[in-house]
Amino acid sequence: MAGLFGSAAASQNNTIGDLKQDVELGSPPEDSISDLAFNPNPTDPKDFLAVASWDKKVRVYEILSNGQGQGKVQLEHDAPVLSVDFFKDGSKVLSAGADKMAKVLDLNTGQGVQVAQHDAPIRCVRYFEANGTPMAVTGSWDKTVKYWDFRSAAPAGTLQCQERVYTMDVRENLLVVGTADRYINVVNLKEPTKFYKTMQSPLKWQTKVVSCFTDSQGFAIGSIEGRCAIQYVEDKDSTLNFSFKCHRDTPQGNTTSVYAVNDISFHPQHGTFSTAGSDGTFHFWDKDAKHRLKGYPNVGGSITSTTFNKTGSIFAYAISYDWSKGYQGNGSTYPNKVLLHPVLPDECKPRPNPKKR
Amino acid sequence: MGKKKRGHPDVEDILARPWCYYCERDFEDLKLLISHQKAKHFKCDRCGKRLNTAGGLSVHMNQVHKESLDKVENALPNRQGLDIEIFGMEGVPEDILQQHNQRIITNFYTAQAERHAVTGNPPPGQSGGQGPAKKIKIETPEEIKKRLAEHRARVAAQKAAGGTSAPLHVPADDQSPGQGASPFPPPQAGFPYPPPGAPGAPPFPAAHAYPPAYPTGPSPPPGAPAAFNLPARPPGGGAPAALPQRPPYMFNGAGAPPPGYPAGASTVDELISSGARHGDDIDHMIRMAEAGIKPAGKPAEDAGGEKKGKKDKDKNTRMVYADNEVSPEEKMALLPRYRFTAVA
Repeated sequence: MAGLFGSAAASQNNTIGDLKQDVELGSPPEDSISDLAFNPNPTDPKDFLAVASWDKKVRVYEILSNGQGQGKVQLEHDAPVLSVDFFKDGSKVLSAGADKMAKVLDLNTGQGVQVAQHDAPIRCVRYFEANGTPMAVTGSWDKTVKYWDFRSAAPAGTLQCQERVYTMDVRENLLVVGTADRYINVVNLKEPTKFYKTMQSPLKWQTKVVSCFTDSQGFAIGSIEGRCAIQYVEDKDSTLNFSFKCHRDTPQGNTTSVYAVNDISFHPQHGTFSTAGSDGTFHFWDKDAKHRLKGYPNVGGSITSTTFNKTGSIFAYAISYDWSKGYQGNGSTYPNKVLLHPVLPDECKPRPNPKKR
Repeated sequence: MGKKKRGHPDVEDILARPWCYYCERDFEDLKLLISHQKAKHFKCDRCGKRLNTAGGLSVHMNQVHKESLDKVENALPNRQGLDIEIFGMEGVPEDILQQHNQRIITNFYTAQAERHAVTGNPPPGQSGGQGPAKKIKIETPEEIKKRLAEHRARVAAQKAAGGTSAPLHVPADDQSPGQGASPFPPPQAGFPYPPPGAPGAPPFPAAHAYPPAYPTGPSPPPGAPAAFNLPARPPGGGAPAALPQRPPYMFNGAGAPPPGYPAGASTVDELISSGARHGDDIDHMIRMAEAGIKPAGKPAEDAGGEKKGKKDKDKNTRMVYADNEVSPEEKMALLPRYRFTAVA
């Protein structure tokens, strides 16, 4: 939310970050970008960024030290790709989309293999490990979540959900599934076929995104009504739950335009997180201090997806049309690109003494 | 002569009242002033937090909302600055303070002189009868209406007591031209019109501007009343006997009076409603006046304003993507461009 006087404030108090250092990724997808994922393997010196797009392709770029990206491999689906995730060792990429299947792309061979099948488009795919065994979990608009072990064409397990799956996130043993009609299901991946907890989203509007804390103690929920909720899994922590407004315009007269929170990404080291919205801005927050660390000016188009690299030194965000304004909002001139924001040390660090200030 | 309490405070009392630098309003005590300032001028429009000073609010906006405050809310145009730190009466610049006191003193003496003019009393200390001339009483439409209502009540009581034979006063003239929305034409010069203030009649100042012919939509030429129009009426409404006969309207009496109207007004209502079919708004206004209802316009407006104010507080929001049932991705996926058709 670039406030009316945002630019003036920026120079004074440093709460508005700048985007001057951001680097645009060369040869981006030809259509809206649906998801981004960085290689999570900490031992890999290189950074790889996987980009899923509505142009039916998954592209994997190698991010060079100068910030430039270089196309490495790409994989074609039969329909728009809606979700992408890396294997833990960074050797393979999982992708899923409207063609109702999920595929694994081997970065070394460049070969793709189908590993999952649903009855409706797969909205979300995530990699996880069950007792050291690599697995994939897929969530689909057919109202199911399925687990796959890459060996069998049949799912290793199925979870029937109340509604269409809109978003999922995994961290360690925590799987959070957000569906239509504001259901939030929490699954302990040690018992993957039953819901550890089912709740209605604390937000009153459609769930757009869920994202687990780095310590997997809870998760953040973003809704289409410019609001985020911080939710802890265990009831004992429920006093720490809260929600806050974000991604809203400064009021014009007596109306405020409210935008969807499109993505939430947690910083792998600091545990702070970013929100990015349909309004074309992203912000860094500290949930423990309940403080906004940094806001950024409008990037010129809706931000559809964000992610941090493994060390948290790069914040990647995708600018493309998210259909939030229907047909009217679309146009051939709408930006469609991925930007890499170098994260400065102070941008995402939580404040040492939140109470003091 | 001892000093009489008139409800008019002394100038010293007024000068002693604390007042708000930002909006010049004065208050009973300092506590009230401070709470006023916190509520009106130092309140955060984002979260409603009330700060003690403009500087405090500025810091709050900066730290909490990452925005900068550029002016004090609800302040007079030349008092919006953040450079002066005001808390209650502290921090008000000396020259502004002097200006304020000067204005209070001036206002006080003007008001006092006016009161003396109204009452005809000499100012205290001045003996003798050479005071300023008594001010001419000018009634506001509200006052006239009030008097009219009283009069009507009297007439109604009279009627109830003395049978139905007593003719009714037609109180149509309480729609004074000052009413703004009134579509009445201005008074026509040269119209034979009894001078206001006829002997014995209480003055109805509003009547002098009232067109003698009751207009029915397109107003007929003055002096040529249409069949149903009210005949010209002397402005002195005090003497019912002076009213012309109204037999032609009596046939309307069969209709029941609209509910809620005073019984005494029924025939008048009927005649007006039949007479002013075309001018519905006029009709409506008159009915309202008949029923003793104040013009609906202003109170409604006030209520509207209040509501608006409340809405301001809870900030109307407009969601850019408002479909709570279906995600935008699902809509996109249904487009022909993206739709997946399984390969056979």
